[in-house]
Amino acid sequence: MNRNVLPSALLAVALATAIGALPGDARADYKTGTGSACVPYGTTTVWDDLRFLVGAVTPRLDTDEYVLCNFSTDAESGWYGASTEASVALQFKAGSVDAPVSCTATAGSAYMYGTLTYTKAVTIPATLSSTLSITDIVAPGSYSWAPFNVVCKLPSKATLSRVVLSEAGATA
Amino acid sequence: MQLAARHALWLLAIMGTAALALPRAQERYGAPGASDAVAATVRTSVAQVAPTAATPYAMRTPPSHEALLANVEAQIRSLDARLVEEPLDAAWSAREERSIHRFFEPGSLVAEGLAKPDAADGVCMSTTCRITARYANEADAEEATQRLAMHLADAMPYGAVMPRQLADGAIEVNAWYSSRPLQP
Repeated sequence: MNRNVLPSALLAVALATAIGALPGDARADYKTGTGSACVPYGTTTVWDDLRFLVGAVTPRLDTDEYVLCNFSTDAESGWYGASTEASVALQFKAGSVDAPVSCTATAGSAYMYGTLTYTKAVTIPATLSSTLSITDIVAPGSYSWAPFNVVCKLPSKATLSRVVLSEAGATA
Repeated sequence: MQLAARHALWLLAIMGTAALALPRAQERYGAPGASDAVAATVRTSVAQVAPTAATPYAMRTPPSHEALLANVEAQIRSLDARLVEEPLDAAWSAREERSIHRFFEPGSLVAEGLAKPDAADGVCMSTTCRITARYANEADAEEATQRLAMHLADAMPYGAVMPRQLADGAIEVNAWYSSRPLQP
């Protein structure tokens, strides 16, 4: 037998074994969205208060506005603990002034089982970009398929661009 | 001969992959080892989940209204029990209660464009505050809790909101904000 055949064959068998041993369809999930998919939130922000860009949203005037960003989640089970929790990262850019941004992530629904909230605030220096991350998010009670949303205060001249939701639990 | 050997070994490798994958398929479709039986079971499974007018997609049974209410009540009890167990830090409690009262001051609510609740009160211990407020409708209640979460975030970034609908249609907001995660 040619000496070159055996190593190739062993490599093929090793690769096949490795591929066969990989987990099945259940994996963690990462979803990327943009600020342009967020909507006005509350009584003080209406559509005309916002300007939508390709992949971003910003206040139209020199005012603080509130936006609601909705997410689709894929988890096969609820967000319960360390192995199945979620996190969200929101990318902001400040304009010509410092931008004190604040976001509240809400897991669950007031109409079912109640909600858990996670709030974080950061001040982004003028002209710079930064990420506001909220981690270790779980849903209330034994609540599979809990809705998930984020409300952010978008200060004057600040822009919300990319949002990334990551779910640690198995998703299909 | 070398080419044949190489092909044979590659075929062995491919069959090895299939052999490893088949148990997973069998587990999913509950099929015996025979390939025809596996295929038949897969076809049956597909037929069972494919929607028809008579048999729409199977969904998890949504909880009943009573189950939802019971779950919210259970979480309220759990969160209150946790609050009661906290020791009292008088200085922290006073500071955070003042912060909550500032939020609900009429002038502050007007400046923020928020509805005034019919009633609002808060009590704080050493890491957690509990707020009770009554609003005319769900939208006003929700917006208030979202903004209150931002107002309290420096000291208490974690929140739990368990609303109750009252007999007159008003909403009683039960909210806890804490420096510790609040999974009930």
